[in-house]
Amino acid sequence: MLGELGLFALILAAGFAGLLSVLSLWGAHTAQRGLMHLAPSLALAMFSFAGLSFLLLIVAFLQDDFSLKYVASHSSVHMPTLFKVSAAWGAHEGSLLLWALMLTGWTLAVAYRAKGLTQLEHTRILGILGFISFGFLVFILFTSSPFERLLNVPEDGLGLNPLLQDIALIIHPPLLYMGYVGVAVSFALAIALLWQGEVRKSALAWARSWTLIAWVFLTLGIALGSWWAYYELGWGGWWFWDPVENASLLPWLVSTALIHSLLVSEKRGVLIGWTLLLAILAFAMSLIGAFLVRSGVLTSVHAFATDPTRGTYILLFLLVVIGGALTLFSYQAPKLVKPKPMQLLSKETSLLMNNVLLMVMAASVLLGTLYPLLLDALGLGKLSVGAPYFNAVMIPLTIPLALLMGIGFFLRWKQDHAARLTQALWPLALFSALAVLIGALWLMPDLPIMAVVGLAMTAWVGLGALIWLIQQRVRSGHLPNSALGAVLAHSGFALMLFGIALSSLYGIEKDVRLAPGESYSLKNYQLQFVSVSQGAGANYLTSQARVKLFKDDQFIRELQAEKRLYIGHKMPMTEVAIDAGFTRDIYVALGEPLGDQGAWSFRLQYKPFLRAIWLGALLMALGGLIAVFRRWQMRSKTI
Amino acid sequence: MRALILMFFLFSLPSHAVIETYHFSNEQQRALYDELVRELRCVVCQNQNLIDSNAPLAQDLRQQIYQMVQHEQADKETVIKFMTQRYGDFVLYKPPLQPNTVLLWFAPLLMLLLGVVMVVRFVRQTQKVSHD
Amino acid sequence: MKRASWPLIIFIMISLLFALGLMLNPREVPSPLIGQQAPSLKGQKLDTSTPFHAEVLHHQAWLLNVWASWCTGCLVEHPLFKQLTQQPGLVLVGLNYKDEAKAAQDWLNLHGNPYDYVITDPQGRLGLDWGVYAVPETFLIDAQGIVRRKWVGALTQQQIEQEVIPAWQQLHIAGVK
Repeated sequence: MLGELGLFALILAAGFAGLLSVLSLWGAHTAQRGLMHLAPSLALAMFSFAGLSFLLLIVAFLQDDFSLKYVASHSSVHMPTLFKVSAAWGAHEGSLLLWALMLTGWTLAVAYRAKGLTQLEHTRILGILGFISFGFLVFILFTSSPFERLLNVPEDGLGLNPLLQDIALIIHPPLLYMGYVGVAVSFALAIALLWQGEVRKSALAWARSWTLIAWVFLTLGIALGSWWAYYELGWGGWWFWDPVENASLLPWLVSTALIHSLLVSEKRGVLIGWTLLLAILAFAMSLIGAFLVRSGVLTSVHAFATDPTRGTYILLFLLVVIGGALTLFSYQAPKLVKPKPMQLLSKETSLLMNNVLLMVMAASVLLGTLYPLLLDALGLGKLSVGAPYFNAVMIPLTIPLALLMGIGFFLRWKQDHAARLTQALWPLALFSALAVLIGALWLMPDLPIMAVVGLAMTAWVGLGALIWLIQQRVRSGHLPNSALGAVLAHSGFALMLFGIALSSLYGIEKDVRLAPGESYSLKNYQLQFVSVSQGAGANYLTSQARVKLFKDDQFIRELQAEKRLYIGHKMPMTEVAIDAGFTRDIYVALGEPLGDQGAWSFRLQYKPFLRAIWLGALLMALGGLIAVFRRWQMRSKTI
Repeated sequence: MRALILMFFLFSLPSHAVIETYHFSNEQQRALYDELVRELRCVVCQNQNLIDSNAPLAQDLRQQIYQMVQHEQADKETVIKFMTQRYGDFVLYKPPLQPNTVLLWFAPLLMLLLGVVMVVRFVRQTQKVSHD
Repeated sequence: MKRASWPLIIFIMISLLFALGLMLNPREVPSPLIGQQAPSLKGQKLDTSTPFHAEVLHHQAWLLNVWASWCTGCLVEHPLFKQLTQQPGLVLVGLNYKDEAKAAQDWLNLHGNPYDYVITDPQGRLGLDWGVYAVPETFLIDAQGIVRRKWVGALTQQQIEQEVIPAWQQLHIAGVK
């Protein structure tokens, strides 16, 4: 019964999405105020029914309603309640419903925050978001309904994949999806603006806040996923350049470019066509990502259950939405562009250059991800493109990016002069050199060239932001309102570069055999294997190893590395033990028993400053949030 | 039916790597082994290198690499040639530079150059328009 | 070409690629052995535990089927091999991959033995040389000892009738001439 109600709510949500789309776009087209006024209510109805449908799915999970195929396949009576709830979005159907729900949620938020938009723009945006929501809801109804019934109701469900029975994985998909669908808002605005053939400054300002929020969610979602992979997959890596990870990086790279381009367009009224194109591309990347993850055209460790009909649908949807948008762009963009003079040495050109770098990065990631598919489709061979390729391409691109990031704050709008700029950059150059020198001395004698490059990038970007902030404070007596968020975000990026450089260059990874009582040294840490004991958890059997951690022969703490066998899934899982710290992580993964002396194999890792990567991402997200709030504050003051 | 079967494989990534403890006579050999097991793909897996996979084939291949590196003093090219002779270029996560990968390896650089040239041209163009 | 049309053109090209991609199987790895001299089959025969002499296969086209008693796909294609054995002159060699001799023998006793020879490969050494990655796999080798085709996964009735037998027949006739 609940299942049918859920399905019915979903159909109603799709119905209201369709109405929202048709009535708003028609109302805007014929300038009928009555129709245009309807849009917010329709958005509310659409969201409410999508929400109801999602809620009923969760209730079905809580009630162990195994008559629903989706529940039977992903839940089980033995699972803790929290994971029963999160199992609702643990696989394709439910996660897609969550995606659609969030899209309707964004639409609703947009419906009630129209400051800076004309009514025509606002209605068109809602109509376009309604259309996209309609597309997703229909997709769920026809190919991926989580409310499908089973004829033979099983006693118990299969249970959620143990890997997903994890706190981080409860929050990771919602965060990421908030980002994926959030970029739809700036996409919808871009279409509305192209449609009317006129771009006003306040509409761009409106888009910047929304893009920032979506970007914050994307940043947090990606960081959380990376953190989960690090501690849950048992490999100790934090980024694998898997197609699914790349699919999340693509919209992030493009929306990062978009944020900066919006800044230029809003402040200087230039690069408007480019900004609108980026807004379209950011959402295109998010849809392409959905296609890659859910269609099965690529092999990935994280892939959803794939089904060619789903792939076909997403591809058609992609063609309609993005193909339509780009067609509109190719007709309307030339009419928008009233080129204002720009100078090569100016903040706007430097931001444009960094945009180009970010887009080359995105294009390279896309190329590397799709290249195996391309060759296969052309019959030119079958190959793999993995981490070695992406590292080889992305690291050289990061260097000029960092270089420009450091200079960016000091550059002037409109026109700058080489002599003035050199003078302004003196303190930064000096302090960066000093920082690199100190860092190099500290790392000596083991000092690969890339470590120096990493330190230099960190110092240049991080100090660039900080020195500029201090200078502003000294000059004007208060903190610059608008750029505080940017300073934080750039410092976060610097911190991340630092973490990436040091953890990858100075990390140690050893697979060792340890008998009880034996120890192994990693740098100045010693790990002593005590014993392994057998036990059982709620829905798994476990072998638990006790390992004592010493630093310079001083006992620090005992670590417990586990290996679990989940009942039902028959899947061995590694629960690694990590002694986390800002300066280093000590990571212990339990392997297999070796021989009859009680010895086991272990993977031991020492990862210096690994946490800086996620901390950096957090700082970036915080910077984004601050930028949004500052803008809201400034707005409410000016009005 | 197919969808149902596939559903059971959902997220069925092997989540624990089988940890082996090979002994090498010198650090260069260990480094070479470490490099190879990360650059070679477990062909039967969804998308994993040899070190991260616990598939039986990955174990066999690791054993084979160890054998070659430790006992036959094989260098990197020899091992890579051995693998590509049997599994093709698919086994390499770092595609070799050859006619069908020229685009892959050079496109990023080309795109960057093109981007820079276009930015400079665009900026110059805006100046011209405003002078007219 | 208008500059503003480029994104659309690139997007359409990518979409085209996606459409093609939906028709491909990303997990199928073509064998680099095709067109190459077949690797050796130095192993022991399952029934007698005596060395197998590959010379018996010279000057004729033959099929190599890699199988194991633990492999579920093998059980699916196994009954279909009757059709192969009915072809006069067709030599079907079984490579028993990473299996125990007893389990393999029991399996053959239970399900029937369509193979002319069964060679054991308990450690998967031969399998490695043949680039085996997902049993069952089937190879077609011509009279000159060149690998001509490879099928990965359980063969279907349709594949056997429309691909395996015609391909073998062609090579067989050429070999006899």
